[in-house]
Amino acid sequence: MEDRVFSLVVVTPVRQVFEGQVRSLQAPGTDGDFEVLVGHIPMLTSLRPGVVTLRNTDGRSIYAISGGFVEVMRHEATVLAETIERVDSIDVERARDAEKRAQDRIESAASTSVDMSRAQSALARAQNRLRASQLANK
Amino acid sequence: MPSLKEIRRRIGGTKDIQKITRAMQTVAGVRLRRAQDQLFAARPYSDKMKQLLQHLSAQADKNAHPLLAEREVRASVLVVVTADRGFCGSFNSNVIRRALETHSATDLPPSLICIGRKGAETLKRSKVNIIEGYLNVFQALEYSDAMDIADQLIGMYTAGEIDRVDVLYNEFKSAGQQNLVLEQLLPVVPETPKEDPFFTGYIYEPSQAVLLNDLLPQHFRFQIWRTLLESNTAEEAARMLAMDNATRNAGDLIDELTLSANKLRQSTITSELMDIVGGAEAIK
Repeated sequence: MEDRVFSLVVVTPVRQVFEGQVRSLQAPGTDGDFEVLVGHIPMLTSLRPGVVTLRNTDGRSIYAISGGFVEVMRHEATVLAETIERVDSIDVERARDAEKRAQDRIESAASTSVDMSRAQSALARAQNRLRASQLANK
Repeated sequence: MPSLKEIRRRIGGTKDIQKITRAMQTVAGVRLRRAQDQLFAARPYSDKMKQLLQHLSAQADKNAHPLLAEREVRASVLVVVTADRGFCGSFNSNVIRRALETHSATDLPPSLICIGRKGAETLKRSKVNIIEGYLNVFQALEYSDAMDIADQLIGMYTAGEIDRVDVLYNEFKSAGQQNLVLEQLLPVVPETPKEDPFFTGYIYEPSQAVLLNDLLPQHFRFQIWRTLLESNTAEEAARMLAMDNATRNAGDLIDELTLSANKLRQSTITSELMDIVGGAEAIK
């Protein structure tokens, strides 16, 4: 089992989030969830908002992702995320507040405005964070 | 000849100014470090995105996506990135001068989008068409700012209102050097495919077209973000240098003024002595 690992890098435009060896990467692809293990065929895919799980020898870590891309190469994989955060660092209270604020804004905003689309994506992000933290606490 | 009192007053004033410029230099130094951290933090993503596009453009067709396709230029936009604040030497004026040169160099002058208060305010007074000004984004730079700017440009580009987008900004070379850069942003200049012996081709999920459709806007947003980070870092570096010069000039001025104050004091004493000696001679 020792050598069944590949190197993985997780980056966002703002910072590098993870770099290291993992046994598996689970991610929400646009066409459905998938898992990458060592020896996966080279692949490029886009992600929808959801939950990313990394497993290595000492356990798993769960992240909430807002979308992005995964590139799988022979011996390495890369996650290019828009925004991603570790579930342990999610403040559930804040996420609830953000969800509520976004819902209020959606109710008050005109349906075609830029505010509307921004509020909708804010809502999706907040809900995704909440879902991810629920999943992690199971 | 100014009086001794006058000169002393000027020395006091110059010292006060020196205190301010020194403080501004320190602040710029701190902000430079923060800006540099932010810039370096974006590097891994930059490298990965570049690699990805190299792999992709090795396989993709030039006309696979509207953001890649060259078309006849009937209208264009020049994004001009300056600072929000002054006191940074020739940082802003270099950009503005170059923007005006670029503007008058063609028969089809571009419309301008100004990022940064200084450029927006100065260019407003010349005969250019400014579509939009993004002010005060550099106070607390966030990725969402870059997204807003990028999405506006993509919207105009895909709607056919504009056929080309360039950006003019200061690139951060080192703490002592900034380079003025003019770059084409849209249509996206494809990365030159690199021969990678390990790369044998991907499977795409969903299709390549769908992926390009997601990837190119993301790439473009990131380009804008990188431009903002570069300019922000260069700005603080320029300000630090300008304030360092100002502090040193104030020091020179103080030395000069002190010298002439001493000379004046000396000559006053001498002439008073002469008076006393002359008076004593007369009494004899």
